[in-house]
Amino acid sequence: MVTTRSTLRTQEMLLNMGPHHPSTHGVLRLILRLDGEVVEEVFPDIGYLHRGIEKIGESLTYKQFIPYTDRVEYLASMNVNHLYCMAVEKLAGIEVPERAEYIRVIMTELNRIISHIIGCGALAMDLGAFTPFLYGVVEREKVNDLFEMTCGQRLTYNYMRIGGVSQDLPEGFVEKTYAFLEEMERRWDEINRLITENEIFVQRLADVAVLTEADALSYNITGPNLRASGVDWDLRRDMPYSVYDRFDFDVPIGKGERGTVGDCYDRYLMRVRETYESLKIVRQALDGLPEGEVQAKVSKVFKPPKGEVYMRAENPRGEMAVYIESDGSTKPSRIKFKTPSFNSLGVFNKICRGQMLSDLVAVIGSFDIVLPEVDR
Amino acid sequence: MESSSFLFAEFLQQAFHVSPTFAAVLSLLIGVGTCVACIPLIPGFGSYLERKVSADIQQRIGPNRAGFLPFGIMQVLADGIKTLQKEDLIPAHADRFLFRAAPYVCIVGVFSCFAAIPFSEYGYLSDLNIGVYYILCVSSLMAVGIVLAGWASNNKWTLLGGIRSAGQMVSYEIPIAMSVVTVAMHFGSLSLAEMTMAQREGWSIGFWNSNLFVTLSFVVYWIAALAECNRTPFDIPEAESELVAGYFTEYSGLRFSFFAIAEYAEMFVVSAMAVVLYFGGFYLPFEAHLPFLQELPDGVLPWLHFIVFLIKVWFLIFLMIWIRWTLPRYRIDQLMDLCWKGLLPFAFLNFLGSACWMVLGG
Amino acid sequence: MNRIEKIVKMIRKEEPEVLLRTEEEGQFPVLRVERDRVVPVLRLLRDDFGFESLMCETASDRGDRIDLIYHLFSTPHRETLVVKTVLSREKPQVETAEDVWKSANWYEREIFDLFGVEFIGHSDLVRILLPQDWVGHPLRKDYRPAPEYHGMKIEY
Repeated sequence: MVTTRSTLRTQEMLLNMGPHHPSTHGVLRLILRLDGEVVEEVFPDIGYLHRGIEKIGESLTYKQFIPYTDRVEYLASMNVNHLYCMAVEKLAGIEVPERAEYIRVIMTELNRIISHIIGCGALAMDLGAFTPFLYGVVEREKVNDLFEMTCGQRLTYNYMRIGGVSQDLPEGFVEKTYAFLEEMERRWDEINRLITENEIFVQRLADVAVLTEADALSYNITGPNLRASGVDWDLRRDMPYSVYDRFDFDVPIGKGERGTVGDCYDRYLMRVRETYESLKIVRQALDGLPEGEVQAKVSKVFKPPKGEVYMRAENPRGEMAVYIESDGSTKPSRIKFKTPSFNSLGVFNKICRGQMLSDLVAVIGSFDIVLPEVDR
Repeated sequence: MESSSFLFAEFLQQAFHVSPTFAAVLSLLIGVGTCVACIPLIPGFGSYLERKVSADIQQRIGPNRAGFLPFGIMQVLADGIKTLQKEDLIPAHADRFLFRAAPYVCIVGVFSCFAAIPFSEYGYLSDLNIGVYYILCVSSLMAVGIVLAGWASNNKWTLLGGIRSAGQMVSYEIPIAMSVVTVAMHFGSLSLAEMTMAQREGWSIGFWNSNLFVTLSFVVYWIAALAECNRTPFDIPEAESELVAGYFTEYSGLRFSFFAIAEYAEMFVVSAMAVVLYFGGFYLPFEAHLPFLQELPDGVLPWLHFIVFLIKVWFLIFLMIWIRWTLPRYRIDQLMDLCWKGLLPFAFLNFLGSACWMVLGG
Repeated sequence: MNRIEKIVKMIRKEEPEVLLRTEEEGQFPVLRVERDRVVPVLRLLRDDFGFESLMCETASDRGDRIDLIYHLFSTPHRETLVVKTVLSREKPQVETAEDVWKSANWYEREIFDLFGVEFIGHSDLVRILLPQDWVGHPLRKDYRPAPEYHGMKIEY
């Protein structure tokens, strides 16, 4: 008799991956049902980092809440800062000075760059290549220095304010940023040469955990992960917020270059290419940086009118949205963060079936999941 | 050639007038003792090299603070002392006997290989006429130790690591054996010492001048050797980002360091094999054409050979480290594909090619 | 607003007496829908008007009632639509939208966890962010945490 997988009697194994597993990018617990090394089912168990940020928001004033938005996603604090401030400004109808808008774009795009550095580096590290991650961290350090000289912080920036930014760019910032852009372009090429076309790396990612276009939309996967599935959609280009309509940049789309559209390799490639686009945007924003105020007039006791607002922004991991309900008092009556990684994790059980255990770390890495953002 | 233990036995017999049997046993014991005492230096230096080379590759500095010696050399000692101090944990539901035994199985398997390695003219314990065969067999014991460790820990991650390693090591033994057989056929001998002697006349750094296929078999040997040592890109049994730490997840302290020692010693053994089979053993390049070497004072040349041998081996180990910090890791099925669909047919064809070369080319 | 008017007309035809009213003065057009018929309306919107993704589903405690808010988005039309429905605070129940959009699965688990809204027909309605044995639903306005959880003091 020929022994095949269907005739061979095997025993299923229940495996607990996390919450302290080295490559779950935080405290994520995946309960796996395995047949040998083949994953039959994945049950993500989240909530280990739940801090109740939405509940905290209900007892703080609008301005007091800004530092908390940093903690929603620690790898892209600027972007969450920006999103929250935009939402409140929309609610209260505040016009932000042009210079402040440019500074915000520079900051969020720089933050996107370093977030993608970590994303790509961590994926490579999960696949066993440690070196690209450390190459990337060297570059990330320079952006952290830029942020530090701007707002004094290296991780949780608390830089944006309702109606502007907390302070103008420091002296020498523009020159240093130009220098960084130049260096980064060269270095990013170098890191890519090391890893992107590496045969083993491609083999590990191509055709793994394919996310189809229909699934991506139904599960509301957004950002680079959606584009990897072949959907030509970028909020910054298609529904521009802030001053994104003034910049010229391309939106990379997944084409299944080494496998199927929407596989892990495409998701990785989107981040690599987006980094180049972000570099372009920062350069244009620096070129066109206008003079002027950086903070609009906002009353000390800030009371937005009664109403609600739903604001979306293109964050490094996808579209993050904030929903704020105001009852006309100094405190919001409801704040809800809709986060991209939450949706990404929701699709795991669908796309990880039939993959191998080793692929699972590639999937986590390719979706670039950040757990504080999932749990809030 | 005469082994150092044999010479030492003769010396004992003459100096102390003991019986030949006693002298032989005593000299062997001393030889083995020296060997066992010196082998732990290999992982010590190996781990230091690994740290420093990886640091250099990754634009870091690496250890530079430990102790009073420069360049962080004392880090090796600090690591050793640290592992000695750790609590020796055995998981509650582990198979206690097998759990304890597994590191020894690994260590014994690897250390036994050193008996047949010719470090220099006199620097070996035993000139086995089946030296290559002996090393291949004994080093397989490491796979047994790893599977035991994975099984006995009673942990699903270690079990996965153990099973992976069983599959991997059993598979990759075949290409290694085939490439070694190609070389053995070329020399007409299975003795490592004789193989070394035969390379004295040649370039002594590979012999593509005489048989192309033998040189090609080095490629197969080296890839398979990386897999045998569980080195990246084939480190799936211990894949730290997938299986936490693989088969030694549950080990701590001295038992854990035994696995580390075994791993570095295994690296040394496969590199030493490569040096003997493909890179002229302990001989200098073009040694037969360097007459002044013969005029050196008595006893200097063997030591020179010893140093040459170590340099060659450590260069290959450096190569392994270099590969490890550059490449990502294969998946288990891709690893098996590479072995059974790539390396193995290539090794067989290579073997056939070498045979044809010998028949036709004389 | 042409399309919105069309949508409203269509819904009035297909599901009469479902649409309570529409609000257009806010950021996005809002459809207020009867609780019992919310899922058929959502399915209609997905199938006939190309709202292929549910961006956000959340709830809000308004003191006397719980609002359930669906943010729909149509990528080809670049259009956002908000659907709202009202649930009672005492026994909030509504049909699940899981069959319409897959993303609703986790959104609804979160709403169940934090607001205690029961989604009828949901495949896996268990707490998602809080521990399974947590008492209460924290995002309700009258939520008071239990004094301790497994011997740990909760409120400081």
